[in-house]
Amino acid sequence: MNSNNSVILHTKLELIIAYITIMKLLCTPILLVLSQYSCVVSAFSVPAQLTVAPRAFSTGMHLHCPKTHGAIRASSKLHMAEEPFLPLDDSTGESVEKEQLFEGLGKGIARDYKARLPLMKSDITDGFNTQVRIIDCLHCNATS
Amino acid sequence: MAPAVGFGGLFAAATNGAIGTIEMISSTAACGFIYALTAAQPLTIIGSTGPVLAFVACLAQLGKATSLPFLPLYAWTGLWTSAILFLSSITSASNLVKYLTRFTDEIFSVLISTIFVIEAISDVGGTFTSPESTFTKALLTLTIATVTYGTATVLKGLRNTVYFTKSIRNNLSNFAPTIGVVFGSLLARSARLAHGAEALLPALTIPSKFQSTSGRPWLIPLMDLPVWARFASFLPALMAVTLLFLDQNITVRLVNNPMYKMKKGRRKGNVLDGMHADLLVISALTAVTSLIGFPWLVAATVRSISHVRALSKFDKDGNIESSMEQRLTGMSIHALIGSCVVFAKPRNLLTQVPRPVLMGLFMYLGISALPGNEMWERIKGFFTDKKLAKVEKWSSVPPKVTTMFTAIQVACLGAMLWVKSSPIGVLFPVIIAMLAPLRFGLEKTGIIKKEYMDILDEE
Repeated sequence: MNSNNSVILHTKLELIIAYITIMKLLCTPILLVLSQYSCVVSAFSVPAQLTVAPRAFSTGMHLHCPKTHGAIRASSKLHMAEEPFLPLDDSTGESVEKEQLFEGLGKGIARDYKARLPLMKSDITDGFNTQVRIIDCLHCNATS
Repeated sequence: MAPAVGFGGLFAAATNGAIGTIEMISSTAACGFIYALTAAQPLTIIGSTGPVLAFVACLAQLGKATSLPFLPLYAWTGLWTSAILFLSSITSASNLVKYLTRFTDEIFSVLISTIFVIEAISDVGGTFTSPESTFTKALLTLTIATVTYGTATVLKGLRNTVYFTKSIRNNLSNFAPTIGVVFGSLLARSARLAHGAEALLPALTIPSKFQSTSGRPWLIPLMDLPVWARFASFLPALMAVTLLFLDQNITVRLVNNPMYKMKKGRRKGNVLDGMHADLLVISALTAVTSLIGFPWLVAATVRSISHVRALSKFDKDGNIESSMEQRLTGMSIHALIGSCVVFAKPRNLLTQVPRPVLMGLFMYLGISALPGNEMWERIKGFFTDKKLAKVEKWSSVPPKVTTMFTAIQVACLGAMLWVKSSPIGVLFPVIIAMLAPLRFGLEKTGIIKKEYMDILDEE
């Protein structure tokens, strides 16, 4: 009985050791590549500032990508996300806020809900409009 | 509903009945409703996905290998996962999705399709070798699955044909998978009526009352897991986090694509708005589902994109003008799914759906998601006559480079599938996490020049 237990314990320990070894083996190249990729590294070191979308809209500031100056890149749409459209100071034309990779606790969530919660009522009423539209569409299909 | 039913059956097989159809449908209904009500991007549809199913199957095997009870292990892994997702959401870690490109999206999408197809083929093929099955049943299983898949595929393509009127074509095409399921079920029923028990195929297992599939209590006994295992489950939880995080954020990124012209609560051109709040909701749902043994749900790519496209308004040229951004469709869909488990009649109707029909449906879902995926188009390009092949956007890239890029993608896919089916299967999400650094590594080391990468990886 004891020998059985020791065998099971030994197997469990082997599994845990295998896990740790594999994790180490797999994670090391990721970290190496990440550390070499300057864009990723620099993204971590951006000063702690936050883009607040609703403010940008409410103050009527222009939304602008500072690096491309509004030009759409031919290579990848993802660059739009990589270099977010930042609000500009009307007087100087300079970017006043920058988006960073990690933000302060809860700031991203607060921003998301601050932008979305005021629209909750319209999210429901627009749904009823949608239903009407679907019925309209079905009706059009049936009569076309 | 159909994916929930299908995944429920597969979960039951993977977890030996610990998590089954009733859990899957209940989870889909309840979590989907809450998500549609509380998410910052309510057009996303959450559900179970192929990679999550594969991970849970690996976790069940891990529990078996270590003689640990599966459900407590699942619950602890889920709780750790929920905690890490919570930390990720409050620190806005979803911004990391900036570094994911088409390279990752395509491999992930093909992985999902491949899992669907493999599950369907292995399930149907298994009936030929199973001692519990006869050759007649195996042949009937193959026929029913093929008929379901064939019906759905043919009807889906009807829209682009000249048969019937436009209205009939569109409606048949819109309801293609549903008609396929009904047709397959009726065919199986007629075979059973004609040949009796000889042609009786396995159907969905759903309890006659609203209770768990195996009859277990809803609340998972967390303390049944040894103390060391409660902490050790943090390791598989890291894998689950990788999977849920990528699955969720890749899908929401696709839903937030500027091409859908969404305006509510988002900055122009920004695909990250809403992701942090959505991850918070997923984190809370993961904790609750873990405690009651429901499957973990996350944004489902194919269903979400279908939902968004159905709510898009098109101009005369077929370009998207705007999207109808609202919460009501998501809430209605999941409320109706919930009614199927709460009320007896629809629940009994579900038990009439034979399993081969679901496998045909899985085959359809897997294969129908492939067209348009550039990785898949390039794989097909290996077998086409270059003189006759149509001009693609990557046609200007030297064929050797295109071949190498595609071969690397296929190798990554193969690695994921290999790891998934190996004894260390629970670690396969790590490969997904390595895709983004790999893509940047390919460019940085000059294996694929930037000018070519910009074309091949263009969004």
